[in-house]
Amino acid sequence: MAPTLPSGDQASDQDNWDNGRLARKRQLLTEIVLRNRLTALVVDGDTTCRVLEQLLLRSYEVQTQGVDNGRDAVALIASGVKFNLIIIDMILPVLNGLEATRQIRDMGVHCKMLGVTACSGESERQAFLAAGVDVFIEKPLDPEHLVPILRELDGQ
Amino acid sequence: MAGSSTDPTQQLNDYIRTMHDQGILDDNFDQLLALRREQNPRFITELISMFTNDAEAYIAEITNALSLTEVDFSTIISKLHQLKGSTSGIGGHRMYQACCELRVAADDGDKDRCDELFLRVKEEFNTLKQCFDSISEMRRNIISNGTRRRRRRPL
Repeated sequence: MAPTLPSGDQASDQDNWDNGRLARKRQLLTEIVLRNRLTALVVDGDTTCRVLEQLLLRSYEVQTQGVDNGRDAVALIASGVKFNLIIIDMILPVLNGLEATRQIRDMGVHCKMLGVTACSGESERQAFLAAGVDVFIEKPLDPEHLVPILRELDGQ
Repeated sequence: MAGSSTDPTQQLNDYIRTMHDQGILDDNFDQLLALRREQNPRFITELISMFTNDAEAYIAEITNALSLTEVDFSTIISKLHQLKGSTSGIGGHRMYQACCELRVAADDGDKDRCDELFLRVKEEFNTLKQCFDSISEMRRNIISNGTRRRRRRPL
């Protein structure tokens, strides 16, 4: 299973990373307020990617859970746990993302699935969409892609 | 780049800007900084450590796969996929590009080209590590200065 995320501390008042790009990024992070409590499952075999995606989701107050392989993702869904959103990588340990996606869809799960992967070829994109993801996003997951999806899920 | 500043925060900002100019970092690193404000000041340090440890493991596995009599391209592609993903997330632009080029060589099953491009991946990783070490050092200076003076206004 995934390791825990970095622990929280009080924000330092020393930091000053000011530049225009940073201000725009921060604006996107505070752009939406969700009316509903959304839940998301992040499936990624790489710790850094999984932590980053969960932290980005949590910055929008999305409740997240992470697993590091396709088999555990399928088992979690099969146990009855429901999510509004599943973010899944294509290449995963144990059970790859394509097959995991197919199995999740075959269970009758209709939630939004994002294929977020370092693969960038058109053939990979078509394969992931054919397996059942709704959206194909090349890593890294960013607010520009995520915010409209969260708004849609929140009914905004 | 602006004239040298003795202000530690300005030095850090200037350094990050220089890393952008050199293509070592990209906008994805800025996104981490933005997330940092939503989380905690140690978040960046912890994430960099996480990335570095995992990247070293991936590089070791790729090294082993390349050294086999019958090169294990499947393992190379698998580990490279993860390395590409984490590198893009952390904002390591040049390293990410090097990984992309290596991926093409691995897909083609070209061992000689893989050896050559893997060397570049490792070089860019070392450059990125040095960049992160410098950033961490500057952050420590900022924090120690702030502890003494308590003057910073958060953005």
